[in-house]
Amino acid sequence: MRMLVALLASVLLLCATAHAEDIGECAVSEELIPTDRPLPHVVEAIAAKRLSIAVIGTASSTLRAPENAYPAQLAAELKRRLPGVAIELKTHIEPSGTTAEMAETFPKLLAEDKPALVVWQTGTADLMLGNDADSFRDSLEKGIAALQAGGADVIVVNLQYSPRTDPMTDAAGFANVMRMVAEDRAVPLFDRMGIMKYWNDEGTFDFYSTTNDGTTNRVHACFGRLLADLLIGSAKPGEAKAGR
Amino acid sequence: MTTAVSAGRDIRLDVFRGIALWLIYLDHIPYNIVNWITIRNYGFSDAADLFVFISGYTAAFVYGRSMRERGAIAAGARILRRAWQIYVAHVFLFVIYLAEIAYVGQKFDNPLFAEEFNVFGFLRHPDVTLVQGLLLKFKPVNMDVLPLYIVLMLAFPPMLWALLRSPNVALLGSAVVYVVARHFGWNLPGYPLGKWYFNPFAWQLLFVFGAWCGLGGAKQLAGVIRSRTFLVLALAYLLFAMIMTLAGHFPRLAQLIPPFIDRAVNPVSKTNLDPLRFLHFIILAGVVVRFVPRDWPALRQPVFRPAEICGQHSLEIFCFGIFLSFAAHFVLVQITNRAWMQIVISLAGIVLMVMMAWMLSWYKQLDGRAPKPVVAATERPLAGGTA
Repeated sequence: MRMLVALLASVLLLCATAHAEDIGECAVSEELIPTDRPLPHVVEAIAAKRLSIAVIGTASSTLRAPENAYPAQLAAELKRRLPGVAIELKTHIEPSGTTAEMAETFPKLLAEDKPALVVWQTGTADLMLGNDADSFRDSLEKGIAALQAGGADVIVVNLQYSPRTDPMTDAAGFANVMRMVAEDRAVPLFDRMGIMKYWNDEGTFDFYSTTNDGTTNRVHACFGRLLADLLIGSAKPGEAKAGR
Repeated sequence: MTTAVSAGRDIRLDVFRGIALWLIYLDHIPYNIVNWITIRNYGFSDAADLFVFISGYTAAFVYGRSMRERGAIAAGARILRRAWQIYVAHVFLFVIYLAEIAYVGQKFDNPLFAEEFNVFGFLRHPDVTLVQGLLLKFKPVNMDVLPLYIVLMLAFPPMLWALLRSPNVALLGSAVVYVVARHFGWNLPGYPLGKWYFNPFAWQLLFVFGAWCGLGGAKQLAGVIRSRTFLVLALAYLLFAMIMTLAGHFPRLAQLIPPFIDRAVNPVSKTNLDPLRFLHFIILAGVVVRFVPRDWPALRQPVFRPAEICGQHSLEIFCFGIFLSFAAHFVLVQITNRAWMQIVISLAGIVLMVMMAWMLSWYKQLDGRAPKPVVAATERPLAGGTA
């Protein structure tokens, strides 16, 4: 009987949270979305009412249904929050592309998409293939410099927090390299690892789960929202951060 | 140089190597709150530097004596036998690692981490993985120290010969290799990509420096270490290194550091043993040696005994620690990763390491009791157990 009551109570609680504002579960502490690094080309593009964004990343930047993955979620969020601005977002997935390999595609990407902003998710393939942190750092610096020289702003997205596999790799070390390089080059960092770790510690999502527990789409939706927070916050530092 | 090898064991070597082994164990458990206490968070160098330095020191001490007494060929052969033992230990750990990963990987089906799942990719090509592992090219994370140690030992016979002949010239030669290798980016290749995490061409400097100290170089430095100027400069540098390292963890602190200093210092490469890192280690060692004299009575207190016996069986305890860190990971992902469990696992691992060391000492006593030719007694190392 007591079990039943407990079960009922938790079901009710679940319903209640589901009905509350969905943004709730994406919430992270403010310092995880620092908005003090400028995005001048994005500011211009928003003023011109036409913002083109290229997302380039490895397999973790997409899902089996790409419309659920964070790039599409970011586009949807921006359309909602920047009414009147045409949002063009293109996604380029290099499933196991290393940082150096992705950087090779940049001249073509810049020429064809002419993006005001490139969201560059990288690091995971380098890590999986056992690349060393020094070469990784070097490729990352060169890649960011190439994008900036090509007239685009850059947001770098670091690795996922994956507690089951991280002990088998130096994921934290690679994420740290990305933090340092982003700081050096004064580009905003979307600290995916820090954000996921925060959620995991808060109990928002259980990243220890080994099975398809249905949270994947929600996690990506949150990435999309928080990326929009980072983008809008960095481009217009005064604005209220609606996503949180 | 015959006078240089001092008689009697330096208990500090065993104690600090034992502590280094514990810290390496703690550092190898990711997302463990206990590894906040390890020295890597408070300066450029960490337990790995200490381990390599002491390994060089004891190797020179043990095999230097052997080389002087029985000649270069016999001592060289013993060093190579040691390298072989380390290689066998590495392969043993490699197999345990593969077994654990294969088990964990088999039950993993979370689409969010489809990409991270590729870390198990090597299981799809066991033919290549095993061969690359045996060639020391494929080294899973945390399994980088022993390959470094193997390569350092393989190259050690001629280096030891040179160190015995002319220690300062040999050390200079090592420094030249370090500088040239860093300049030209020499390193051994990894598999499938990348290079060795511990670049042997760079890290050999720390090993040779340890050997140089073990053969009497430490005495040459004693005057410097005792001077007041050294102490003031050393403490200033250690403080600086602490601030710079802590800034990596605390963005608020990082904001206070002028960008030009940050740019001049970071990144402090571990792979290529950054000069700042090397300097940090030798300064730290100098300060410790100054305040913990060789004959400090407290070192004989029972409280240091667990660290000492761990240090005496360093290879076995190192391997056991790596195994325990896999086990700790397994417990944290399969049972719970709560903070209390992290603390329990950290303490339990250290207790198990001490128990293992105790057992090894006991075995050694058993062996020692058996009637043995006199030769065995001279072969027993005086410091640092086996190198």
